[in-house]
Amino acid sequence: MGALTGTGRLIRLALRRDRVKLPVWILAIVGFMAIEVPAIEQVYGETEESRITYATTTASSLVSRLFGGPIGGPQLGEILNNETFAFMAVAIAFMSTLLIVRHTRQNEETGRSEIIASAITGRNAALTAALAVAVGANIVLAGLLALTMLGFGLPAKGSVATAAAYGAIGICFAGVAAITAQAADSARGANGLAAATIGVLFLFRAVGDGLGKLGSDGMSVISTWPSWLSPIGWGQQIHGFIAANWAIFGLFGAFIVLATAAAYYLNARRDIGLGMLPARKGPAQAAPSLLSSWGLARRLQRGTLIGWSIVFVVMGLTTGLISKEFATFFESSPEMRQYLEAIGGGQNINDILFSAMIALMGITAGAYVVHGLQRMRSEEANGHLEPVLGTSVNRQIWMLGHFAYVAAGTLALMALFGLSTGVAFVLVEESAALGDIWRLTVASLAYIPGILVLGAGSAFVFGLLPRAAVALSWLLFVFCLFVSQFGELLKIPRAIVNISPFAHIPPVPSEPFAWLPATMLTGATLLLLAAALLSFRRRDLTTA
Amino acid sequence: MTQTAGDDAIVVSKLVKKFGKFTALDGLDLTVRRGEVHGFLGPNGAGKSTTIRVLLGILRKTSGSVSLLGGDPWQDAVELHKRLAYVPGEVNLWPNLTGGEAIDLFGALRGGLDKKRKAKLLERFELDPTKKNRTYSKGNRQKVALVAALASDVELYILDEPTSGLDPLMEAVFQECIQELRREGKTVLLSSHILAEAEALCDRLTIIREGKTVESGTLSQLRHLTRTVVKAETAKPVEGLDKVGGLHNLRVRGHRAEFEVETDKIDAALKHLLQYDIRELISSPPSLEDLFLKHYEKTPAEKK
Repeated sequence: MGALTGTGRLIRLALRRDRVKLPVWILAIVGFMAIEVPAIEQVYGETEESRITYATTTASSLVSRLFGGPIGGPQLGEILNNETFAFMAVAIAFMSTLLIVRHTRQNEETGRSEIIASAITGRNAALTAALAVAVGANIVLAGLLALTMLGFGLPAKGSVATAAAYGAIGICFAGVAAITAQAADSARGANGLAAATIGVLFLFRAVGDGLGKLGSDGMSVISTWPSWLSPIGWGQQIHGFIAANWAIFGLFGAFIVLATAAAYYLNARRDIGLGMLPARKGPAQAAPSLLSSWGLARRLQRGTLIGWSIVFVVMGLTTGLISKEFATFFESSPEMRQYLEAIGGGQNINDILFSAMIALMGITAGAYVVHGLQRMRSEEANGHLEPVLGTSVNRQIWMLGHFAYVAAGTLALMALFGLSTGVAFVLVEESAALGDIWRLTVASLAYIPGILVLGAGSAFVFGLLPRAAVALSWLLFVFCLFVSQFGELLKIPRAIVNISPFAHIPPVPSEPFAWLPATMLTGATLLLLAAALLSFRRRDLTTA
Repeated sequence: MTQTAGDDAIVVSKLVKKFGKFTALDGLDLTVRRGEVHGFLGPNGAGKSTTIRVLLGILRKTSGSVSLLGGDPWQDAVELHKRLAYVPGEVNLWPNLTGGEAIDLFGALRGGLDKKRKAKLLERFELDPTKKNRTYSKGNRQKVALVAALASDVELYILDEPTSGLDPLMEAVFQECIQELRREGKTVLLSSHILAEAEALCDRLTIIREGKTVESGTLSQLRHLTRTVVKAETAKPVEGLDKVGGLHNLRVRGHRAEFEVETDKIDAALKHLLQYDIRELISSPPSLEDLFLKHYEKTPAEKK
């Protein structure tokens, strides 16, 4: 019996389990592309002149560089990629990582793997089957994306190169998840680790593009090295609509080979159900701090918060350290001065950077809130909650414990970001005062009322519809992300954009903090939280 | 301990629980008296765990009445749970906590546990509390939940198939522990599949099937409802046995007779047989197995 025996059957099993999920993912991504191409053509691409204006302004726009990427020139395809590539790449990366974890670590956690392993299947069959399905899904996705772009009349070479880059990014992240599924000892942990990797690699390219030099034509960005540390960055460097850099696919190939080799290496060297770290013995008695419903929530939430804290501190330090270079670069650019006057009314250049980064990290903290509160659903689904509610723990107190921890965690994350940004800023910028540390720490708290609305909404969904809670909470998050990224471009009605709590928060510190929306958002949080507590009190507990 | 008539720990009457269109409990009745060990039996999927979850206020009843320690398990869950300990049918513990931590946590959440008792129980169940939960086998996870429950000094113990993963040695320890609880006057609701265990421990039994109560009473009361199997060989051909009431599955072939007889008709049946000179007689008393099989097996009409 070979190590791959039974792979074919497991592929069919995975496809059977995913017969709805995977087509929905693929069609949603392709559908998004089909909406975006004509919208972008209409708004930016109708005349040569409007395309040049777009390329000139975005090349020198910090926000566009951070969220979009390095524009290469005034071609319609380049404009499309600048508007959509980063977002699409993250969506495709999540499709792949969730898929891999679902068919590897999640099976181990639920005990399904033991039955499979006891049947006629090889040691590597499960991992190989998951990877095969991921590769297949990404190839189908890339094919459909290429057809969509070609269908809207975009140049053939650029369409194919861009679509292939999407597929390659998806497969790279399938490789990442294949490793995290070995390293973590739970499906939730593996997904969290994979999501953090996606986040870090996205941020690498954001920093690399943000620090990039303005091209001599004033319409392109030459990214710096951090962009080259990230598969998402590689995809953006191909610039298929100008002179496609096919050699980059060699990088993708090397990444995929190394990642999968590492995953197989780890897979062969660990026991089923366990992670890489050997289980150590622990205390025979519980510490007094654990002995309450709140203590348990703290213990269960701790690891998630520590992981996210690292990301926020790294991002803060990076933001602070690059602030001086940004200032020098943008002051030397006349286009940028124009741009700044347009949006900030002659504000401090550093503050524009800080506002953009605080907005970005505010939405990122929204992902932490949703991730952290999912713990409630996984506690229920795994059967951990049932014996706890069999004791004299009150359901509402239990829920409030988790919510309070995640709310405090959000506060800590944003404060850590502001603090580390401030410290790094004071270190590199002579004109900065110690007071800037405090000012930035406080400013970074501006988004908290908005983030907590998302958290209370996520808790409400858990209280009302437990089985759909995970999917719906992430949908809420993606909606907020989507309208903040594409609301203007797609001319989404203001009424819909305003559903997102983030839409009501002004860019602090370049604009002053607004108390009225913050108070209203806090009111909304309290209402949603009350609804969450009521609905959870009234329903049955439901396991998997 | 005051024990008056009608002082029942659990009274469930006409309990209905529906999940969407599916009816899990369909008019179930269950009465557990204070101070008794009550066996709760039924085939897989009969609704034992669902009933227990309703009793714990984890599921909300659709209709019927449920009283637990004199309170409403849905409304008064938190207060009532201070007076009971629960071992779930499938014990899932936080993988990164140790067994000892989980035991202390459950004890504290219940309102405190007896440390001496805990130490003694750990010893008796041979459980290492320093291991992480993820490394425990099913039986050891069950021991964690059992130690946590038994170390709590409460009035009522609700145990959902608590021994399904234990080895025979540990099963014996478990039975000792339950006997001790009985001596202390505690009430135990024990759902089980192990007939010997139910026979050894339970004062009274309730058997349910498809969400309905089919039998309830003491073991001898239940036995009374079953039949003794009689096989006889006689010198003269047997005649007229069918005139004796209370006989079932009667088969007479010349000198041989085989039948099942209801307990109160044994005397009449044997007196009838004596007329034909008995040469050989085998009589098998009803076993608990027969009792179960009688209720667990679907009737031919239900099988379709």
